[in-house]
Amino acid sequence: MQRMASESRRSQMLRGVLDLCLLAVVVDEPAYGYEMTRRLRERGLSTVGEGSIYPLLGRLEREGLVATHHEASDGGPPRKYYSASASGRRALAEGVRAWRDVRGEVDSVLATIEAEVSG
Amino acid sequence: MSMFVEECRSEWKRLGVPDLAAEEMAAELEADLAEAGADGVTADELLGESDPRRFAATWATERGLVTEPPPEQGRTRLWVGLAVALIVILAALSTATLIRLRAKPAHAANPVKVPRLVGLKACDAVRVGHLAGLGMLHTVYRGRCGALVVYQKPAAGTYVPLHAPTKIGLSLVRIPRLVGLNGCHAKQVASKHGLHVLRWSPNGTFKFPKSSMCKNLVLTQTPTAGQIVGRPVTVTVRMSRLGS
Repeated sequence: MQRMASESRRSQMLRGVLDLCLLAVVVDEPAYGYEMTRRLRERGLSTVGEGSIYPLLGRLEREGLVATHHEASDGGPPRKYYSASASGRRALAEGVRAWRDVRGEVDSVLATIEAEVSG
Repeated sequence: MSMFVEECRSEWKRLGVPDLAAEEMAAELEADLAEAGADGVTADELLGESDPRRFAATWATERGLVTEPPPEQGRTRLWVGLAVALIVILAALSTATLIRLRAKPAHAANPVKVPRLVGLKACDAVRVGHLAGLGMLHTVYRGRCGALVVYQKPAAGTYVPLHAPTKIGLSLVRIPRLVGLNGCHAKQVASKHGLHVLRWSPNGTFKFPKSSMCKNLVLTQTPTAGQIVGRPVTVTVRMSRLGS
């Protein structure tokens, strides 16, 4: 029960920043959907919680934060590649700044609690 | 083609997603699922969703291909059942009476009624906008959460598509430099900018600077000069003790 609640909280927290994580993994090099999940995994984000990256990619595409193109693949159908657009890069920079602010503020509140619990 | 993708296709067709877009999404999904399968990653793990209809609807909605929200199957069926039952009862009761059912204005293409955001605090406005289904474009920076919204577009009360880009404008002020000024001058400068000033005291209480503080200088101020923050703002200053 507690584990489920913990997973749900993790999922909720991730939901607010997953778009930034997706932009971050395509800011230097384009990638297709599954390759993006692979890059997230390589950087330590093994599960993205409830839902999927595809609807989020759809939103990023609709908002013009990612550009897309199709590339031929080895033996298979062409793959759809995503890359961060100019406005996507700006949104990423702003989002990262906001995330760091929030993280700092939350850390400054929770750090005390952690000390009291562990003590 | 996998069963999952097949069901997604059916859902996209039901929702009226254009064929070209549906083909593109199906091909993308199919290729990714195949590659994930080769890596030992299941569809559930990759998609985080076991219901293809809900997944397909969410994806298409987020891409802006449909304006219908993702189906909540159980609840939808319940409501449909209740609606049918209600119609049957009304029909039975109205054998001698003509009942005119006036249709409500249809907002199928623009299902989101824009709430009033002006007058709210920035963070509240963004939260309210998200909850209403709007695509809030504004990022609220540190220190601006309490800033009042003075402008919004689209206007409150209008109907817009789901996740429609929505802008808000905040009442912001650039903090003037008070450090180095005497207490009276600092108070004047702050008032000119519409700021409240509190004097920091070592025992933890805060008081307005007294006129006797005119001889004392502002040593520190929070927020610092140059920061852009949302109104209403209170600047806390620490004074020298020359004249106390």
